[in-house]
Amino acid sequence: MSDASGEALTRAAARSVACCAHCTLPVPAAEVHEGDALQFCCGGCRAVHGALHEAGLDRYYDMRARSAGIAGIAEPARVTGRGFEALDDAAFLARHMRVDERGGSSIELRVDGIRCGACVWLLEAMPRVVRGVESVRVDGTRGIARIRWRREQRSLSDIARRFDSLGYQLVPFADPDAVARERAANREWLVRIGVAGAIATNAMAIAFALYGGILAEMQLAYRLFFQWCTVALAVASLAGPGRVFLTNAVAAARARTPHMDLPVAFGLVAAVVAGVVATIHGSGSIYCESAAMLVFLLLVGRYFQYGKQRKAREQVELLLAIVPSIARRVTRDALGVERTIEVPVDALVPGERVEVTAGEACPADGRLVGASAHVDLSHLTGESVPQRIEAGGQIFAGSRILGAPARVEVLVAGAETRAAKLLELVRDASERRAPVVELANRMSGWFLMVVIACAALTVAWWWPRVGAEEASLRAVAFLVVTCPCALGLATPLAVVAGIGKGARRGVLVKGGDVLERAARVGTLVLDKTGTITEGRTAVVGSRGDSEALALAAVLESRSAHPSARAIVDAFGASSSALVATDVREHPGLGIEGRIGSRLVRVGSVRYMESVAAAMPDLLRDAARDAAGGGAAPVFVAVQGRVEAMVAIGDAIRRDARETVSRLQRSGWRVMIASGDDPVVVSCVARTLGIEARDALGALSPEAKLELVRRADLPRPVVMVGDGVNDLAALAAADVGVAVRNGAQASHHVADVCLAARGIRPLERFLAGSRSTMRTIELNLAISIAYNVVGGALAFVGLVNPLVAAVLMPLSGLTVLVVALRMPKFEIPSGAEPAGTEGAR
Amino acid sequence: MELVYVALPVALLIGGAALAAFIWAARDDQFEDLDTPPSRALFDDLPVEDGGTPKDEGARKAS
Repeated sequence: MSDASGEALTRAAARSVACCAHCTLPVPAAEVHEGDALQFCCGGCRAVHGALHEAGLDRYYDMRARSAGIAGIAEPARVTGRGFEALDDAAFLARHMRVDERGGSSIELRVDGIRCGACVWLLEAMPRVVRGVESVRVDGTRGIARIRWRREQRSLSDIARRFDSLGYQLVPFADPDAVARERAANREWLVRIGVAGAIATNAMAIAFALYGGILAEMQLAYRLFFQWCTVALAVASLAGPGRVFLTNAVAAARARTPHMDLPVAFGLVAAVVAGVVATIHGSGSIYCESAAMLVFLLLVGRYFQYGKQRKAREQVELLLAIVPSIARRVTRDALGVERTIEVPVDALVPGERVEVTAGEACPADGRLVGASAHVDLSHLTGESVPQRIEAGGQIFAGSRILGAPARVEVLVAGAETRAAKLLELVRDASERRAPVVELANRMSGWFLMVVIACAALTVAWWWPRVGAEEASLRAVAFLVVTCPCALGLATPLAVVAGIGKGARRGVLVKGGDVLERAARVGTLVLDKTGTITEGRTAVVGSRGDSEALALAAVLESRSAHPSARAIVDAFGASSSALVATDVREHPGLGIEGRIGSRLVRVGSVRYMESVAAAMPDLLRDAARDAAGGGAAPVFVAVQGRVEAMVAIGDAIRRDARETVSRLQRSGWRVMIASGDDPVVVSCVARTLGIEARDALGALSPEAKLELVRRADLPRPVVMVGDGVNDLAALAAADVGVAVRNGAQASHHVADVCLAARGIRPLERFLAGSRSTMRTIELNLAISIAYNVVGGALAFVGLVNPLVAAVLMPLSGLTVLVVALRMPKFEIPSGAEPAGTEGAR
Repeated sequence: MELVYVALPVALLIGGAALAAFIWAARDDQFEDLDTPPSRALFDDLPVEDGGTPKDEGARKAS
C-alpha cells in the first residue's frame, strides 16, 4: 500500500473510535455501540458478519488476514436484500445456462463485491453450506463465478439471495458469448507465442552450434545439416505463428495503406528466403534464427497490446453494470394490492413505476414520485456529497438511492438513458483513438533489412579480396553480432521496470505505450474535485468574533451534518470544556442550543432571517464574497445577533498551487474542466494561477470529450478525472488518468490509476513516464551502438563468429541492467525539468 | 560426430513435447486467471473444522 493512502487511513482511524470487524474500515462515531466487543461501520457489514457466523464460515477472517488483496481496496459490505427473481426467468436461463450430461446446471455470472483471496475462498465454500450447489469456481481477477448447481434442489435466485446475504451480488453478463470469444482468442495468442518461442530458442541453439562449428572447420555435411535444421525451423515459425505479420502486410498492400507490418513482413521473408537460397547453394550464410527470434519478440509485444484491448472490452461489460440489469416493477394485482416483481430492464416501458431500494442504483431515467430522496451520484459524476431530489424531479439511471426506498416513474429505459448514451460515447472514443506504434515495432522491420543488406555487402566486398571462405565467415560474424535481441528487449524491459516501480509508488500504469505518450510535454486537463481540491467539505474561510466561532463548534459537535463536522474540525480545539444543552436541529436550516446562559444558533441565511437575527453589513458582505468564491456561508448567532460567518466549501489542496506552477514552468498547459459552476471554477483557477481561458466550468460529458479532442491543444492531452461524466474524455484523451475513490468505471477506462488523490501523484506519474522514456531511448542507443561497433569490427574481420556469439548476450545484459536501474518515479526537486532534459 | 543426426532430432522432439504440454495447458484455460489460484493454494490448508460445523448435511459430501 502506498504511503499516502496508509497515512489517510491512519488519519481517518484517529478520528473515529474503532475499526469495523468486517471490512476493517474506521467506524463512524454515530455507529459506535458502547460496550460491544465487535464494532461495525454499517448495517451491511453487521449483517454479513452475522450471516458468516451463522453459516460457520468465521474462518473467512483468518483467510483474509493471510491472503493478499486482489483488488486491494477495503470497502463496506453491501447487502441489498433483493429477490433476484429475474435470474429464474426461463428466457434468461435458456441463453446463459448450460446443462451437463449428469443433469447439473452451470452458469457464469459476474460477482460484485470480491475484494481479496478470502472472498474467493468464501464463495467457493458455498457448496458446503448451501444444499444444491455443487461447485463454485471464482476468477477473482475478473470477478467471474462459475456456479454448478442442481435445479431441482434449488433455484438460481435462491443461490443469488444467499450470495447477497454475504455481501456479494450476482450480475448476469450482457453478452455471455463475448466472454467465451475472448477466452478463445486469448488461448490462440498463448499457443502462437508458445510455438514461436519454442522455435526461436531451438533455432538459436542450433545456430550457436553452427557458428561454433564454422570456426572449428566443421565438415560441410554437418554444417549443411545444421543449416537445414535452422532454416526449417525458421520457415515453420514464419508459416505458423508468424503468419499474422504476412497476412496483415498482404492486406495492407492490397488496401494500399502503409502498415507497420509491411517492413516487418518484408524483412522476415527476406531473411528466410536468403537462408533457404544460401543453404541450397551450399554456401553463404544464413540469418534465419534471428528471424525466428524476431517473430517471437514481436508476438510477445502484440500480445501485451491484445491484453490491453481485451481489458478494455471487458470494462465495457463492467460499465454496463452501472445501470442495474434488473428492475423491480410496481404492479397491482386483481385485488388492487401493490406488489413488486423483478423484471429485466429491457422489459421496462415508459410510464411504468419501479421501486428502487436504498443502496441500489436507479434502473432507468425517470421522475421521482412520492417523497423526495437523497441520491448518491458518485458513480455518475464523482461528486461525493449526496444530492437531494424533490418529488417530481428528474433522476438518471445509475444514481444510487440513499436512505429510504424510492419510486420512480420510467421516462426512458435501456439504450436511450443518459448513462447508456455516455457508454456509447466511451466506446466510440476508445475505438477512435489511433493506436500507438511503439518505437521498437517501428524500427524492427527496417533493422532487419539494413542488416541483411549489410551482410550481403560484406560478402560482395570481401569475396574478390580475401576469398569466398573468409568473406562468408565475416558475413556470419556480422549477422551474429547484430542479433536484434538487445534491440527487441530494450523497450519491453524498460517498460516492465517502469510499470513495476510506478506500481510500488501508487501509480498503476496499464501499458508501455502510455508511458511513451505521457513522456512529452503537452496539455494537462484537470477536473476540479479530488485532484485540485480536497474533495470533502471543510471550512475555507471565516469572519467575525472568534468566541462565537468556538461556541458554534461546541454546538455543532452534537450534529452529524457534514458542515457541522467541518466547523468542529476547524474551531473545536479550544472550547472542549463547554457543553451545549437543549440542542434542536432544524433540517435544511440549522441548529440551535444553549451553551451556559447563551442561546446559540448556527445555520443558513434563511435560518437567520426566520429567527430575525440582526445581521451586520460586514458579515453580509463577507458572505457574498464567500458565495462568489464558490463556498456556502454559514452564520453564527449568539443571543439573537449574528456574530460570525463561516464559509464552507471544498478547500484547495495545499500542494496544488506549487505543483501547478512547477508543471507550467516545465511547459505543460494546465487546464481545468469541471462540471461545476463556472464561478467556482474560475475562482479556483485564479488561486492556482491558471489562465481564465483555460478554466472551463459547467461542462457536459460531451463538451469534455470535445475539449480533449480540440486540435489546438498541445499534444499529448493528459486528462484527469474520476466520474462517469469524465469517462468519454478519459477514453479519448491521449492519456486518461483516474483517481482512486472515483467512480469504479473510470479506473477501467483510464490508462493510469493513481492510488492517492491529489496532484502530486500525477506529477510523479509524469516524471516516471519521462524517466522510463529516457531509459528506452538510452537502451535503444546502447543496442544500436553495440550493433554498429560490433558490425564494423566483424566487417573488417576482427571478430570471428564464435567471439560474436559469446559477445552477443553482452548487449542484452547491458540493456537489462540499465532497464532495472533507471526508471524513477520521483518528483524532481527544485527547479528541475531543464536539467534532466539535458541529461539525455 | 554422426551422433548429431540422432541427437538433434531427439532434442527437437523433447522440445516439441514440452511445447505440446504448454499448448494443452493453454487450451485448458490454465493461463486465464493467474491471480486467484495462488491464493486458492492457501485454502486447502484449512478444512472446515468440527468447531465450525456447517449447518447443512450436504457439506461433508461436497467437500
